[in-house]
Amino acid sequence: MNTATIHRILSPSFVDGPGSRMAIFLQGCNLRCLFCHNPETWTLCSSCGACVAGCPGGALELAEGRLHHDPARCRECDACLQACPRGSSPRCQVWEVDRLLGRVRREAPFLDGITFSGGECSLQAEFILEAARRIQAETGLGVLADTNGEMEPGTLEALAAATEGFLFDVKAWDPALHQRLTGCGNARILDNLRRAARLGRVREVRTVVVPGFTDSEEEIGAIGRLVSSLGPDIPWRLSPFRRQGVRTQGLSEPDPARFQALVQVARAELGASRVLLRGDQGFR
Amino acid sequence: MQAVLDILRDPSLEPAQKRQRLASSAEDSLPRPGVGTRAQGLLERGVLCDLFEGHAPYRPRYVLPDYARLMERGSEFLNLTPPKDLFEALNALQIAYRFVPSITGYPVYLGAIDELLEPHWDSVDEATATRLLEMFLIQIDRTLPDAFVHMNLGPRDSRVGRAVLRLERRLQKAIPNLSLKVDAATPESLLLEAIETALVTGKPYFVNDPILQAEWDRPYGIASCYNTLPIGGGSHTLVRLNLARLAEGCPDADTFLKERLPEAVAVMGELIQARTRFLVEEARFFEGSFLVREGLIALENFTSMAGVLGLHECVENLGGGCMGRDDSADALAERITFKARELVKAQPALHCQGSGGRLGFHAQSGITDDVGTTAGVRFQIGKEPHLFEQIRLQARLQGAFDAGVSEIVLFDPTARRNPEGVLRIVRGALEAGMRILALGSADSELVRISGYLAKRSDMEKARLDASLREETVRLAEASARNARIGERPSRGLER
Repeated sequence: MNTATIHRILSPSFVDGPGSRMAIFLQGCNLRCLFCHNPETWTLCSSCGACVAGCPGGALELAEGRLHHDPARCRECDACLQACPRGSSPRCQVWEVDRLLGRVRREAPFLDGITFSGGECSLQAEFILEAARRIQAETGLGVLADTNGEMEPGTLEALAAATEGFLFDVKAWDPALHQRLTGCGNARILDNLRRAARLGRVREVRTVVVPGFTDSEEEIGAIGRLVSSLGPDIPWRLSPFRRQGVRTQGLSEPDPARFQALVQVARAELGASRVLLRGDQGFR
Repeated sequence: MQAVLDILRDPSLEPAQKRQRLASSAEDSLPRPGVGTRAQGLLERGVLCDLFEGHAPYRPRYVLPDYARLMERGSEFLNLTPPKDLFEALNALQIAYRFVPSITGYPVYLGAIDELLEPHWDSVDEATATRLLEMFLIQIDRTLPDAFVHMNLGPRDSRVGRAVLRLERRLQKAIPNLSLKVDAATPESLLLEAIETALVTGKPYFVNDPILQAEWDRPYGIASCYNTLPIGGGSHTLVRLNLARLAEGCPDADTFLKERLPEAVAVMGELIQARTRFLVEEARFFEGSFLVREGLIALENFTSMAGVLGLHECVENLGGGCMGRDDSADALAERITFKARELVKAQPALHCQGSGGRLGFHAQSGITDDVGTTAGVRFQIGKEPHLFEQIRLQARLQGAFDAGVSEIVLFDPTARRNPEGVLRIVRGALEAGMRILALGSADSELVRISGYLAKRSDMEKARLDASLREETVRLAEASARNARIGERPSRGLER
């Protein structure tokens, strides 16, 4: 039975692709970005029980070595996420494709599409491949994958064939910088980005401007040239780093004037219309 | 005497507001028509309520003049010839609005403004036309300071409609209330314009035109708090039945449906009939009004309305569980709603040719004094299910109401960046059968109270007892507290 561990589902979401979408956040990630807003999606729960005592609603219980979460008692206060020593969440649920399809079918009249996100959704690609095929066949809704690009090329090609494309993160251009920022090199990621672009499946490239890492003209200029080389009309979304939800100490938000200066650098590489900021509609 | 002096001495009232209260005080010195012991008991318990219409109705509660006829023929009474350009059209409407009666004295229906003005739009250049329209909207806000004053747009596209939506987005006024009728041919770009305006101002309402047009065998308009009524007519009166109060102490749902509800609806019907008879046959409104004489309204386009509210608490009081949480509660809610419709439609209905000789059925959105009673058939604030389930059940319940019902959805501010996404949900709601939907954003300066709008800053002034142009702000301020309107959920970031 094809299953996935799902961190949570937001429906409707207005910020995970064009229109009204069901955003499905899959649990587990292969990068460790310093600026990650939801580090509780990094790993699967190990049932260590560290979160149980701090739950004010008594929704968590460790029984026979397994952690159980009772949604009826959960106050969604996130105390368990704070208590988890390894970047997980006891609230994740294992879903079968059938169950997900049931929900998608029911909500389809109110949706423009489905977005798999994470964590890193491609870690559970088998689930996405089956779910996406059935979602498109049974409801006509399109499926997007929000990815960091760190996967086997064969996986990328399979996802490209099964979905309408990727919202593709480029965390950094410089390999050493990428390694420092995410704990992982970027050679395969950038290869995958070019591969996805050749397949016509890059819907949007996304970069977060993090002071001390990706806030230099060189870095932004280089990513801009990369996006430009992918094709004539792929948009690039630039977002200023925001502290909310981030565990790493010492990171600061970019000065607005500095961010605007980098937007100008980006526009110089790509043209103004392809550089998207908060609030811009750009998905095609 | 003391009551009169209290009104005269109230420093928070403008002279015109004092005059309005003095008139009500004189009217209410007469006995209410048609109130026997049963009705008296239900009125005293708050099961029935005539919504401050006054004891002796001498003008209909809701009047929807046929302004298109005014545009075609002018008015002898108002000394107006048919308007020849935009200046004259706007002037004629402003003059006519002053003579449309209602309970508050302000017109509750301003017409299908796009259809009325579009023929004159080219009589001046685009910039002048837009500027004139802006002055017209500001004039309405300042001289008709009552949030029940309601303007209609759609379903056809028009330059006037688009200009109104853009101006309202910029001006951010509570008045006029606004509705956009939507059908399959309404262009997407007009709907997106309306959604962008709604996410800032809480208006317009999105109105399911094909379904409502099928309910009425003649042109209809949306007046006051989303009352759906014939153009060239209206409603003599509106009496409401508080389902929550009626269900108090009732042993079970069967007793409620088979005994209490039929009895109460029958008493409500008698009350409505007596009020209608007084208006038409004693006060003889239709014999004296120039609106009738000049064909702007006609008795055969009128109805009288029976309203209900408090369905959520009614189901709870009957031990039926929580609407939106339990399927059995939803099923009971539906049974009660459609049973109420059936009973209302079976009442004798005097002078109700406008709705086929039957009473109009209305989901009443509450009054200021309602505490712990949810508007119409909505979910109690704070107990709404997931948005899509909310829409689905409300769409089913709304199917019972021909004379007005509405639902309100507030979106997370991120929705402003993605009006296309909101459009999908609006379309989904209309396709599901939702009849009238209001939407807004949780952080807007304009707040939808029950069926009307108020500004947050004005409500704060009302709280401090300052003098106000808009009487409805005072109602809004108390309503917002009593009905916990600030606790409506914000949609777009939910599981």
